[in-house]
Amino acid sequence: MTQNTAAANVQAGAAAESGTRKNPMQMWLGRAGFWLLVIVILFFLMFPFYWAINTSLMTETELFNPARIWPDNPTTINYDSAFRNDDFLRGLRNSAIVSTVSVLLALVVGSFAAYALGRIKFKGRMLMLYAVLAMTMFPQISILSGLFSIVRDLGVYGSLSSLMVTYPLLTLPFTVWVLTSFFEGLPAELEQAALVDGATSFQTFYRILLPLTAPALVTTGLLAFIAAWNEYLFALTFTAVAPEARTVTVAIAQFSGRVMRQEPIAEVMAASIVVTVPLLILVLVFQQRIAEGLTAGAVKG
Amino acid sequence: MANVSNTQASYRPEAGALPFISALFVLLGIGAFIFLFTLVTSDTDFQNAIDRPITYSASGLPAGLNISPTSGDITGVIGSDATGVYTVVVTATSTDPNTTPGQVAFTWTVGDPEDGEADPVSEPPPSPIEVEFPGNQFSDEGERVSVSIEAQDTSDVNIGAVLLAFLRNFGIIVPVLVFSVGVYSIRMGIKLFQRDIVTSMWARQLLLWLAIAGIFGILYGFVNAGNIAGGLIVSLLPWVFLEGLVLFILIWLMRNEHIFEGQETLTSRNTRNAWNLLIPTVIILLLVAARPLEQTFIASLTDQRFAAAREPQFVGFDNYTELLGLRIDHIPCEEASGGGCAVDEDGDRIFPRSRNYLIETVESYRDWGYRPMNEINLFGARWAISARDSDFISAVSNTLLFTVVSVSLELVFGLFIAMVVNSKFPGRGLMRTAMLVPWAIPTVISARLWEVMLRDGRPGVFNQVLLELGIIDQPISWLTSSDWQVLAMVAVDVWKTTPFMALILLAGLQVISRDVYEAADVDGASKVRQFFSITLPLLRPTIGVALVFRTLDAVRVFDVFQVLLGERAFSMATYNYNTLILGQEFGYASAVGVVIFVIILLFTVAYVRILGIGER
Repeated sequence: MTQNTAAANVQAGAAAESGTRKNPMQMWLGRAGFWLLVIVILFFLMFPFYWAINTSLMTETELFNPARIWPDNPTTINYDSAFRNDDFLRGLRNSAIVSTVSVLLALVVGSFAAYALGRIKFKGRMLMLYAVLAMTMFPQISILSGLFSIVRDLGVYGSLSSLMVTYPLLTLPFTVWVLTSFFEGLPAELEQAALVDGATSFQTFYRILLPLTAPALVTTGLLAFIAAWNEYLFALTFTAVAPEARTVTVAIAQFSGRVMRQEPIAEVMAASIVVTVPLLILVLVFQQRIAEGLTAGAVKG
Repeated sequence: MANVSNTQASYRPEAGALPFISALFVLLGIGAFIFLFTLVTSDTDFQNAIDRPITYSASGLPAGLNISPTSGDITGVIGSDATGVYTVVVTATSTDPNTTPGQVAFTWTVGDPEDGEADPVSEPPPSPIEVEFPGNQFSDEGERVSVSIEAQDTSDVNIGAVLLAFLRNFGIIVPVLVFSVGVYSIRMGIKLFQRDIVTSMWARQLLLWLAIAGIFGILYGFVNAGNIAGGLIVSLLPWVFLEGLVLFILIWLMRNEHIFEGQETLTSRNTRNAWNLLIPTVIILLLVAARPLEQTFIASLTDQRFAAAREPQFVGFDNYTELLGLRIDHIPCEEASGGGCAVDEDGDRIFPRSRNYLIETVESYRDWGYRPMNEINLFGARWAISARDSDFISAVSNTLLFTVVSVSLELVFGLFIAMVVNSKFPGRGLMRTAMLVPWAIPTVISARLWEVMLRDGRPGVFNQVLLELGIIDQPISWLTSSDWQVLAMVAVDVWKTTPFMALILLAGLQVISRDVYEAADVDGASKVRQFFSITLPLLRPTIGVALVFRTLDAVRVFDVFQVLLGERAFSMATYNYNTLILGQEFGYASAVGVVIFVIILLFTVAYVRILGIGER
């Protein structure tokens, strides 16, 4: 029996070998095709970003010349003026604070909920899953006025806290759903062992399961961070009376041109590059973990 | 049950304070009902909607006299120079604007205080407001005068107004919550008294959360102490008292677990733990999602406008019928003199102008505000599509087109990218970072970036490249020509959100074991075959989650349309923005929001049914 299996394995191995052993021309073509695909994808993903860099290096008057692949006289004047803009710098700081707090809130609250939804059988589970999803079922604009009165009632209108209170609306549903599917994927034996040892549910959760979810937490945290960092409508509305609480997206949108009645497009592009770079660094640092996190999570809905 | 009571008879521990604690729970429940009842009955808006108090006003009164707007009493001192004949008209207006104001007019001869008899010159005109004029009740002392008018709105109570007053002041969620707390806590009190172990555990859980809430209450008391006349003590005392009571009961229940009978079931324990962990989510859900949505829904039943002097009126589902008013009519051709259809010189049938034809033939076509949107010619027949709010209907069709096209493209591209990144090659890490670039740029800004790229003429890079390559002769106005608008939006969205799709699909791909593919290789299955019979089926649940989140986002698309198209073409969300911010029509805009919610809900239900998401 064992010998048979071993023989089968050898045969399978040989078959696999012969399957991959194609003639060199074909292999070379395959490689080339693959790299061509990689280049096409990179071009698709990066071209608009490249164009933002391109635009940010032009002066405002150059913008009205026919488009060129590289500006004739690259200039950093737009970056200079972005960095000299106090509103922009304060916006960067505000965005960093709000996004960090939102991520922490979403992760703590979301992992609690996801553990309950992913690991415990109870009445009302499906209802809660859909209630959480329902948070994303209306445009932000539709509930803006209702949210506005709540923000005012809580006494946080015009402060950064107003955004910390409202951003779970954007970050929580996704966090809960992805983490729930992650928890569902963990083997059941872990908990049973813990329960046998007399651990409470909560202990099982934060001593045993939570450490295992670290990669998934990093991933969803990153996605939540990007969502909060990029939010515009709430930030615009709830900080309308308080310029000091504006986030960076609002600050950029309110750049006023040095030239009368003209949008400073190049300057906006420079600022948007500056805003995107921290996110890219975050992604670069965590990219290994992103893959791990979602893999281990076995996103399966 | 009988067995249980037998064993109870043999040994039953002292109940101690249990009756008191049970009674407290029952009292709390009754208190909730009383609270709800007094809250509603003492609310003036709500009472006014039922009682509809009258406001009085008078014209033509002698100098020195005034009418009280609330009681209808005319009082004051007539000046000595006020002699003469006055025609006084008193108007009684109900708070219900649908009721015609009632009027009473009488002449009044001032001059001889002795002969102060005033007689109404006319009966009050017919009006639902009953006005009583009890006559002149002059006091003869000097020139002090007192006349009283009484009126009452006798029309039927306006149910809509009563409902609206209730909804606006209490909403739906809070009354339901208070009511459930009442029912739940009375039930809990009774069950506790019966020594039910499950209830005691749930009670402990509840008390624990109340204790935590109490700590926040105490903190609030500290912060708020400055605003209260009694200072710190008055502000803190109720919270400290409540906290003490809650902690006392909690500790008592924990110490006396032995007096409860039986054992808690595993189901109950699990459910308790689950809800425990879900409490923060539920609070956030209620606070930032359910409450605002509730207010949106309530506003959608009114004709509220921003900065309008008039109180908003209850209009039922009028906003919805206007939004969704859509009809398709068959337009018959012009008849030729010899019967059959008249044709023009090209041989095409001649049709009457749809609008004129429909106004003539369809009753209330114009009254309802229908306007033809589009005409479809099918097998020589003509159908006219008319809508009451054609902007909204075209916003819906734009959005649906946008959603279907962009989400399917994103799925295909996302799958491609995910599969490429999933294979091993040098520089994969960088590729994974590059993959997220479009998604990391704030939407508001990436929309501006695309605005730059899609500009008219040669400054726009797309036009420049296409012109240089000789593919087009004339620059295309991507954002102003209606042929290209939605497609341009699709391009922006596909670029922007494919990374999100790719990331989730990548995760799903990495879970699929390599063994499956190796086995397929052994069997000699082609790569294409492997993709369709292994990858796709195994990826289905992941695709489901990705599709749900992407579709929900696409249906709600806002930033891209707002920045790039403004008022030239709407998505549902930008149409909502337009009615709200520019049109100031709060009630109508709220109805738009609710309709979008329902459309998205339908999408979600469809996905769940088709893809079986969320089922274990």
